[in-house]
Amino acid sequence: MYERLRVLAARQLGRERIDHTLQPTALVHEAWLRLADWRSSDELAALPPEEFAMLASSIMRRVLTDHARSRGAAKRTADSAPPASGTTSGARIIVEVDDALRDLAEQDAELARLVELRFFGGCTLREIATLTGASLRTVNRRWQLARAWLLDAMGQDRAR
Amino acid sequence: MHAEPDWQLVRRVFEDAVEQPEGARLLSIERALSSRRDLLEPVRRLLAASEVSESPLDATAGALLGAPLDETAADLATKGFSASASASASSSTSTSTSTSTSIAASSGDLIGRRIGDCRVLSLISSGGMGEVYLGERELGDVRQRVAIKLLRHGLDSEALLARFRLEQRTLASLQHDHIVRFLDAGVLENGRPWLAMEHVQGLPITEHVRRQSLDPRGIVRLMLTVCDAVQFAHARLVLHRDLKPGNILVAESGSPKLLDFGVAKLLRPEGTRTDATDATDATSGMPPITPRYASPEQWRGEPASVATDVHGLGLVLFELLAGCPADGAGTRLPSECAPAAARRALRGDLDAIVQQSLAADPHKRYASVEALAADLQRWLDDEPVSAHRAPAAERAARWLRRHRWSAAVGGLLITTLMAGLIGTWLGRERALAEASRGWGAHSQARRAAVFLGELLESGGPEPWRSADVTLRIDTELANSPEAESLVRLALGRQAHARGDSASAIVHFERALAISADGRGLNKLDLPLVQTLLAAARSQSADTDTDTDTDTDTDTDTGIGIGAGTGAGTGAGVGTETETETGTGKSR
Repeated sequence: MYERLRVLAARQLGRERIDHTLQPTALVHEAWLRLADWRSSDELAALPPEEFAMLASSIMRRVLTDHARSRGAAKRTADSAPPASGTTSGARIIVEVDDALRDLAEQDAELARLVELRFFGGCTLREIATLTGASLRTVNRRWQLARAWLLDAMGQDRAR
Repeated sequence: MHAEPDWQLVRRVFEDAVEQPEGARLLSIERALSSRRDLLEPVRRLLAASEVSESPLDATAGALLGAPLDETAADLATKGFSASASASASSSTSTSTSTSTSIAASSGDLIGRRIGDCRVLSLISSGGMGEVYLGERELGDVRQRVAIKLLRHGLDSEALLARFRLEQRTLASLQHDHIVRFLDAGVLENGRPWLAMEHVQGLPITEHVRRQSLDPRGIVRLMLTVCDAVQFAHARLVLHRDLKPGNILVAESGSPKLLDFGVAKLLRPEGTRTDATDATDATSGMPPITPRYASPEQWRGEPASVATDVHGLGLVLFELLAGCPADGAGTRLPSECAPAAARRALRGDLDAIVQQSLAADPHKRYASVEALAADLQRWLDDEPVSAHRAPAAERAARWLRRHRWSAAVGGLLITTLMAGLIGTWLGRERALAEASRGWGAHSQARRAAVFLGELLESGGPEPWRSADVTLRIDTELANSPEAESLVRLALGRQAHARGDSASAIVHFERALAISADGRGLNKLDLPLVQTLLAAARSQSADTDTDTDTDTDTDTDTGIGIGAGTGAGTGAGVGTETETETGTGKSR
């Protein structure tokens, strides 16, 4: 179970560089603790793969957005030295996606789940197809729509 | 935010539209929303957003959080590189003496510099075409590693430059998992064109196959993915024109990526007078195509076509299967060049597929990459490949000529029997090619053929229900399970086609019984026999309840099933037979 989470987290952070501030282990620990808060490990082990992936992705979403928000906040307070642009922007995007995703969930919960699995859970479209039993083509079409919806929403937000 | 029913409509219209080619999308939504023009604007906006080729959403949240450190590393690298630019320049000249100093000097100039929206980090390689640099690109908020190809060759005329810009837009639209993403292109102040593309790490496909020691099945599977990518581009009217092992990289995960799609055309657009200066291009060290992998029509200076890429894929397939590149003349088959141990697996279908891909006359090659892929897939599935069709028909015709059966028995009977037999025989040859059985099975197939031949001459009008024939099978083929099962299959099919389900059932059941312990029919043929048996059984049930069974229907069923197996061969043989019989009689 822990392994499954670790695998998800490692992928989430990109295979090639394990050694940055938010290490997979740290992320996994944090996610694991939050999961364990919710359910017993037996219960977790009994979950069907799709539900596990969903649950893990939504936990990761929380861990990552919390992290992003706090990082953004830290940067804002330490304004004296202008931060590397990427620092705040990566974090800012995550926060923006998180916000937009909330709206998308109201419009179409299914699409929001797909984004959560992919963007926060780090699953590939092919994996999502396998998990949900939909065809890759269907998943791809849905992803196109979800992506377009979010980009559109985020673009409007920024314009405002 | 839309009300639920509206949203469902928006969703459907959008999803239909994205499946259309880009140019047809707007039309598609306007048509779909002709009665709901109020929804046109939202869908249009979604479509516009979906055409943004790169967005932070394509990464994952974790990767985005990871970005800052990456940036620092990149910054350090850049500083390090620019500081030691002169050092690296001098070391590169000393290590590879063939590299001219001017390249080293210019690479020193370029590192740390901006090209388009990419920053040059380091020199990856330099060769005849020019140099390749590792770069980094910042798009909105995402950083991306890119490979920047700086070409040695200048684009002098305004018209060529314009053409170059037009082409690059087409290339940028090629977005496929197995095609290296083309990002940007332009021309430096000194006239040298550059191309920026996604940076991939991987081995040339030949090297990958060698290291993984992939067998022919693995190779064919890999090539199917490659074909898929090429076909994708063809559907968007982009030819590769320079397919070769070095342009197909395979990542560690085993996933292939195609490089330099359409780049050959960018460098030398066809139909321009520059074609005439090819020779000078070649001597100036920048051949428009790679000579060793060029197709005959490219040698002749004719325009490239889909068949050019089919040829390229054929060369790659040849090299992967045989373990060495095809010779220029294309006279040898992969199995003739492969090491002895690998030859058997290549002989037959794979040889035929490669041969058809490499035909000197573009019209004799597969008509499309899709057709090539379909044949490769058929080979994987142990179905008869189309590359074989002509030789099989020829073989059947020759055979028929030798045994003048036509006079004694009706043409239809012969063709059906022959189709069934040859279909099975081909399957057998494939099994042999896979080296699973050896010559024993082959000689049994021959026995079956001879036996059926004799039956045609002396087995009476309905051999499938003749007690005499059954006796002969039992005595003559007693120790040849393979031959017996083949003969039973052929007789069963014939009986079934003629509406004699009872006899068909007997033959099919017996064929299955013989094959139950692994002898007899190839196990790949078993599902077919089971299907035939089930069909015969249901036909027989129909006949029992309805004595008035229409014979036409029966024949249809029989042929329908036959078509599923001996398909192409059957039809081919049918026509061949008739013509052959005609000439035979007139002689």
